[in-house]
Amino acid sequence: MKMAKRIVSLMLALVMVLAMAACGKGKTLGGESVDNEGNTVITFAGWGSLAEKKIFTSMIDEFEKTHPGVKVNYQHIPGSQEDYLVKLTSLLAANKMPDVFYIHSDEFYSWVDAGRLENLTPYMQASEVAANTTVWEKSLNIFRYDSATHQVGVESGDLYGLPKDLGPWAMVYNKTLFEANGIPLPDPEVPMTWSEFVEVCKKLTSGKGVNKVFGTANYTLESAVWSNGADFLNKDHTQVTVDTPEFAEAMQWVADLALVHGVSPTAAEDSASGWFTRWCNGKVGMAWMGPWDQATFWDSVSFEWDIMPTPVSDKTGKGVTWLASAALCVSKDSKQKQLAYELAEFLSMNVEAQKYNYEAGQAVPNIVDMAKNDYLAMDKAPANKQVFLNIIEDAEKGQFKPTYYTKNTTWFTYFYSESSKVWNGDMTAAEFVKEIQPKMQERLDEGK
Amino acid sequence: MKKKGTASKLRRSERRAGLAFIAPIFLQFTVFFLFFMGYSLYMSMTDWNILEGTENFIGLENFKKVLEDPLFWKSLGNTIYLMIGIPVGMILAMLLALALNRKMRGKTIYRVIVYLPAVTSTVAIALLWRWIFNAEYGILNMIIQQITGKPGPNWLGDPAMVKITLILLGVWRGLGNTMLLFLAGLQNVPKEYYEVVDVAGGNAWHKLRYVTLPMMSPTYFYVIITGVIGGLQAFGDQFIITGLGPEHSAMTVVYYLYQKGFTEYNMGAACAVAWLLSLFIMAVTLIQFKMSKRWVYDGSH
Repeated sequence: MKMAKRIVSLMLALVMVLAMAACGKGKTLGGESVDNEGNTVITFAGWGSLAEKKIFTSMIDEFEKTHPGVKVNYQHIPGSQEDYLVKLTSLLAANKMPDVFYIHSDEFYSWVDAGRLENLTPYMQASEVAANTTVWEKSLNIFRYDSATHQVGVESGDLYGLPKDLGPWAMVYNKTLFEANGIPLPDPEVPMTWSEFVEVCKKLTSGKGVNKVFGTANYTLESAVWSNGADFLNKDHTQVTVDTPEFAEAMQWVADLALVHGVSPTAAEDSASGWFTRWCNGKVGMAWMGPWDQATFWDSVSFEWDIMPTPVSDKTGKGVTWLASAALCVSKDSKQKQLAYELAEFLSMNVEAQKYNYEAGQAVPNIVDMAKNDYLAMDKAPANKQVFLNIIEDAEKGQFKPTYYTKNTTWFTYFYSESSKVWNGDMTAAEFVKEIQPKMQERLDEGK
Repeated sequence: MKKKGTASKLRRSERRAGLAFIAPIFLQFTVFFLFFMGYSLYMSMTDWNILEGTENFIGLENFKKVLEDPLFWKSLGNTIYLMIGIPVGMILAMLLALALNRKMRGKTIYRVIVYLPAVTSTVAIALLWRWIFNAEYGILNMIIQQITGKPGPNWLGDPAMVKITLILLGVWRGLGNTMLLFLAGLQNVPKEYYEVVDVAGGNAWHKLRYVTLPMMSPTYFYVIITGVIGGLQAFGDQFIITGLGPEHSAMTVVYYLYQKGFTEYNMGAACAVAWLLSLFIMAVTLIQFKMSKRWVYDGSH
């Protein structure tokens, strides 16, 4: 009897996950929230490091000063982006959506297409702050959505999120290591070709085992693929196009950095110690970074570093990398949409808030003038900050990730998990992409 | 024969007390479990997308799709593979229990140490072991390098090793709990039986082989049942330490469920997976109960 009960309860524990989600369906719990002192309360949820939490807390303090009688309840959700999303989904199911919350560009499509986000265009048109502020065009376009065609990233669309920041993924090099090896520093404007890149990597690579110094690490596959003139999906994002010779060639080139040239950690070495740790320990010549890494690098690396243009494929002469962003979105169910918009706008566009954010090494400013003047003039690394701005401004240099354009991202995670066959040399890229394409396509179709 | 009256009055009040005693658990069960079980069964037959709020009845479509997905079968295969840890853990726990059942100094301290992992948070353990298993800097491979002179395996990066790593971790974590159950079992073996062996001229090995081990069969049964149920629901270690693992080598059924529900927002399919898993667990458990009649000693003969 005891056993039977145990079995049943264990079984039920499993169903609990679903039950919890079901709990909140039904009535709306919200209403206009007012605290004991009569202040209007709006809630704001986001993820991020403790450093980011500190910055946002200060920015929110500033917002409260400009809005007497308003209190912002900042729910910082610790852990990864994935954890955050689970939490946000639970809040949604419980009808307890925060008024303002982050949505990563990879998730934007699902959320906007499900009608969970408020259209911010009317608020923006009525806003004086917005009228007087110029932010990066791409940083707004990434959060546009056309409800008639169900497409994201189109200029005809309305705005459903304000950029928290726009993150260009740029190649970074260890200046000290270059100088120690007598290698000329990468040109701030003229990119290396892939073959030049491999040669430089070979010169940078030395040592063995735990102390091995690698020329590069974690070469971004998206960059190699795009630079080689290939892509993951076709133009209207309905067909998986990984089974092209250009794609296979780019993927093989990345794999060979480790397998043939030995200038990048192998899959085994990488799982032992991630590229980020290796880089921070000065054991990698060239890697990748986003502006959010600046603060960490200022504080905890003991070498000099700078960023460089994305290496270009010998065949195409193009060097492309990805851009990602998180939006500050307003919930469709918010009871205080105007106020929520103002908070989002403040965090996205307020001069002081933006200044604070870039000075803390978290981001490139959203405000174009500030980025092009104050940020470029800042005397902290990287020196070639223009590289970041080029990726943002030039459509040939920076693209949104393939997962941004699809609602369901499992077609990509599937590819990613299976791709270790290529990274560890069990399969050639050409064989792999032939095998994986139909399976990816199946998952992509299912997600519609 | 029985009269209605004073005698049955006592009966009735006893029954009332009995009902009162089971009322709380019964209420908890109906309010918190039964309703939601029914709800999730219904939802498993809808296209419930938590983000879009759709909720259309689609019959058994979810079940069909899940059963046709090779990834589901792969994750079920992985889950079953990981249960190799159950017999391994039982043997080790038995050895430990036998060792700690003797009179010795510091017995309590050892018991506490072995039991500690069972009461430590999954996340803390997982984070700790991620470092221990680190192929380059991990203490495990340092020891292997010292002893064998060769670098140790890539515990977390090699698709073939990932499962072994997870099994090792599971065995270590479960050891304390299983050991405790075995200890309790050992102490329940009647002393008279050992005396019989003495009288018959048997030695310590005979005592172990013919008294201790057979008398413990109800405990094995309990450990196996709970172990299998727990094993089929494996998720935490995978989620924190390995993720999906290279080539989905660490994807378990619950991980599959998680992916359906929380990254695809397809709660309908997630409910279907939950029900498939529940039915599977129920079937496996029933089979074990049926088979138990053959080998579990219940004191009736």
